[in-house]
Amino acid sequence: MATNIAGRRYRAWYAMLLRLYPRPFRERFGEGMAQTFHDLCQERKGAKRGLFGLALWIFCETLVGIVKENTTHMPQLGKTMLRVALGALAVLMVPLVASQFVEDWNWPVGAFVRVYVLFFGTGMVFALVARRTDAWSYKAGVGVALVSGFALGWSNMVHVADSGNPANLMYYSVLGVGAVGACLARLKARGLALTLFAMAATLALIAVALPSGAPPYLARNMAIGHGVYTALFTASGLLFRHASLSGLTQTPE
Amino acid sequence: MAKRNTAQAPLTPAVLHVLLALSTGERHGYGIMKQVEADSQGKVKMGPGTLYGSIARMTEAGLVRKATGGPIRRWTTSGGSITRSQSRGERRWKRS
Repeated sequence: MATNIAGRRYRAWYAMLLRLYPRPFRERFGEGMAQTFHDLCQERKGAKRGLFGLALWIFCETLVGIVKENTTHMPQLGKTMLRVALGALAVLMVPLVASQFVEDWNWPVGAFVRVYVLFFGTGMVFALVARRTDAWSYKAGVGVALVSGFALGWSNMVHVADSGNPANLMYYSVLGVGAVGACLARLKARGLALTLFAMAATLALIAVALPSGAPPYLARNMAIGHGVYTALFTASGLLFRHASLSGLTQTPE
Repeated sequence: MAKRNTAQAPLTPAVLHVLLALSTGERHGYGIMKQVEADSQGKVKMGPGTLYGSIARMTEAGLVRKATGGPIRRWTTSGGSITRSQSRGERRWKRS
């Protein structure tokens, strides 16, 4: 009896889910899909097994199909935006979930929105720049550069907010060098390699020149941080150099 | 690069399984799913989303069509066979 009620409920929900398909698809296959779901439920019921696991799997599987069908006739840019938006949402789940467990992590809703915009923006830049070429080293270079730049900007923003030391704003000059260099290089691999090396050099210069005034244990952590970021920017530069030398980079006409 | 005609493109695993299931006779959705499961010895479980998404693309490419007659909507192949390229191992549909 309970299985019958659950079965009816799941079928009603499934019928609602099918309404999310594009109308032409739904009109052609909706009835068949609903019938197939009904048949699967009947099979489960006949085997005296619960319906929850089956319903959950079918709902998830159908949801993937719905996204696929709705994006099939979408322009490429629209598909890219949708993918990046969903990816950014998935990444946003990390701070969203972590804030529930970490004490003193009380971001207002606006902060989450700003962080989402940052994730989405970074993702879109990667998607748009990386699709200019099929060269793996160029794509990897863009990825490493963006993640490193994003992490540097983020950690610096947090550090400035915590310490209130305006001298730390100098770190943004590294990102400035990157932005100006990328524009001047017109995203060509050779120019980007030089830009990333310049960013690494700027960061190293700041690390040496800027007096931190921090206690020794903090100074050691900062030195490690500087080293890691410098290495990442250098690695990204080397990847661009590899792309440039291999001659695989193609710019759109 | 020009987009390849779907009928000429290599068959995806889902499409291949559906074609194999229909090669032994016309079937409705549930029947195809059960046949795919049996053919793959339980290794492949296809849900309605994948199945009908594949059927949509296969009807557009002319690989399958609705079977005529009967109260339940059944599907059948539009006549052809699966070929396998020697060089890359890709499977394609060859119309008869």
